[in-house]
Amino acid sequence: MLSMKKIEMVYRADMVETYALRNFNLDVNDGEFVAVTGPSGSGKTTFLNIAGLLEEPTSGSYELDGESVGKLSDKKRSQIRNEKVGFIFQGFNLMPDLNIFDNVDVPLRYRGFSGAERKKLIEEALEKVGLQSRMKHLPSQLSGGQQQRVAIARALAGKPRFLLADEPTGNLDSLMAQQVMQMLEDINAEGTTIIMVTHDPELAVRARRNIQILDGSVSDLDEMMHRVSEKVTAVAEGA
Amino acid sequence: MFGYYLRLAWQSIKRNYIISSLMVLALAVGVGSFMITMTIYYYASSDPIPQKSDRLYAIQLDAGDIESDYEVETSADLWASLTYLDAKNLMEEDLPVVNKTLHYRFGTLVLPEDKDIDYFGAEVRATNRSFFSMFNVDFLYGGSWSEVDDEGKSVIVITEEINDKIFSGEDSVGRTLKTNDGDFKIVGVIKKWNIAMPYFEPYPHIGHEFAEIYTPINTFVNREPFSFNGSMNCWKPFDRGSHDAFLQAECAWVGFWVELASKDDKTQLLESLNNYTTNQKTLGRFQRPTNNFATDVNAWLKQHEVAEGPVRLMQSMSFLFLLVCLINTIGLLAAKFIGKSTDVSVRRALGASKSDIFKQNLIEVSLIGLVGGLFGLLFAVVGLRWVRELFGDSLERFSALDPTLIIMGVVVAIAASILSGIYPSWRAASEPPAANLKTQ
Repeated sequence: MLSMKKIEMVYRADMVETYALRNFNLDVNDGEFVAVTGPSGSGKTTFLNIAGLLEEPTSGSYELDGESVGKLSDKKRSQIRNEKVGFIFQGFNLMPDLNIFDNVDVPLRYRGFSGAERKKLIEEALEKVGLQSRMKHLPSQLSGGQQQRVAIARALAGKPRFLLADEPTGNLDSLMAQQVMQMLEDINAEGTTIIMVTHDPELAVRARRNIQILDGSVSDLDEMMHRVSEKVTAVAEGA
Repeated sequence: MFGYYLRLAWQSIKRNYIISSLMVLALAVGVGSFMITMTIYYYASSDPIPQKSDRLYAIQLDAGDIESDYEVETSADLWASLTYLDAKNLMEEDLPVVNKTLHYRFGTLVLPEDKDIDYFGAEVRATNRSFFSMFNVDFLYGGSWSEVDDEGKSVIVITEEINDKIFSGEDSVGRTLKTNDGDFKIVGVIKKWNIAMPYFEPYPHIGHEFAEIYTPINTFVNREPFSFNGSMNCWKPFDRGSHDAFLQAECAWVGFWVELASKDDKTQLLESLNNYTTNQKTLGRFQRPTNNFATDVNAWLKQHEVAEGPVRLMQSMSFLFLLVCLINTIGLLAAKFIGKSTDVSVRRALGASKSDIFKQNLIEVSLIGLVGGLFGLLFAVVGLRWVRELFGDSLERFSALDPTLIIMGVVVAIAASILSGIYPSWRAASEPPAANLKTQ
């Protein structure tokens, strides 16, 4: 469903060019749960921003659901982002003035659903994260874990094809992190594709596929491990 | 989405209430001062008698001396009144008009019989009975004096203000008003003038007082000592010790207006005026080339630049002030939207397009403009009262905002706020959506 070929992302400031991604190639299939790791500054967030159509790559091709999304208008990119992508952020990014119901309502407003449709979808999403009783609460009245569950509900409410999670457990304690991770696994099990950036190796191994970004290029750890294991087997058989 | 954006706007205003209040204040002060000058301009430049302004004509005749060194190209180059002799002659002349009036003004002292009321000075307009019908003067009680009274009877028409002051607002028709010029029988009480200024004056201007007493011209013009307030131009010497000589003198001081049945009769009117001056030439008068003018009401006001000069200057100053307020608002809006950048980024990530954010911001700006406009109207009302206190009751008519001006004030405020909000709103909407997602 997601295919990036030879993506390059260059940030230019005065005379300095910084390559955030270089010859970046990645294919993600429907239903996958991909964990993206890598050191700070390696290009993980840039990749996530390009995948979520928040940034345009400097060059290369990017196809989402078979459609080239590299050179679309802002309106069209926003529409695709709204319909197909759900975002979960490390800092939750809930609107402090809006109650939980209204926070989850935000992406649905831009979709143009009727009031009744939105209400149904919001209630479903909040029920899924176990917060249907907190609809009228403000984010500040919830714990960090609950706020992240609201953010997940907001990301899920419009039933997107895939979720992009940027350090979703980064601001949570380990217990909360486990709960959120379990929730993401459940969501993935229901068919939603998830790409999760994380620094936590324990969480990364729970994903079905692991990739690492180093200096703006991707290394598919699973494929590498597969190749290593093939070589080990071949050596063993030869011996 | 409009209702949704409106709700978000209100929440945003509440969240940043200090910046929002400053913007409302800046807009209110700017719009308020603009409205004050607009109100003055609006009243000064509006047609005071739209029903017949194209049929009422002020008459000017160039009766100057052959030695007078001036050139007349337009009516503005000539004095705005006639000699008493010409005014009197034209009253008797067979002009193609349905009505004509002559007038001048002077001051008197009103001496109330009620000892609790102090005597006071009042402006008197000496005229004929046609004055009231020509200028559509509304009566509260009674009416104008009769044709017989016009010959010089001691009758007067007073204004509602004087009637309120001396007779507590009761119907005073038939009662007597004492002045230092004698006792006068009241035949009518006119309602408060509802126009900006006495436009029929030879030299109208903003702040010009309306006369409070009206009396037949023949009652006073022959009296000695003669009393007169206004501008008088004399171009030939006369015996200043003789009142009769003064009335025959080549001095212009009497206003003269005619009412035509149709504005198409103007050519005929000018022909008649030219015939009159030709006849006068045979008597040794009107030695200069024939320069006779008939000027309708609106052209008359324009000729005297009642809405120009200080009014225009004031308007330009207030417009500049509004501009300064708008520039301040732009700065405040930019600061406000910078504070909302994370909110914008999150909305963009959740599917809002640039235009969605732009619209949301503009609605917030418009709401601020609406509130600023309403406060601006309040400022304008207070400011106009202050102007009235500063310049006296002559500006009473300027102290009220009519519905057109109220709507205009709100529209100006909203338009101004939208104008000042376009750039900051677009800047905020154009921020890269990913820029602030990691900063919360």
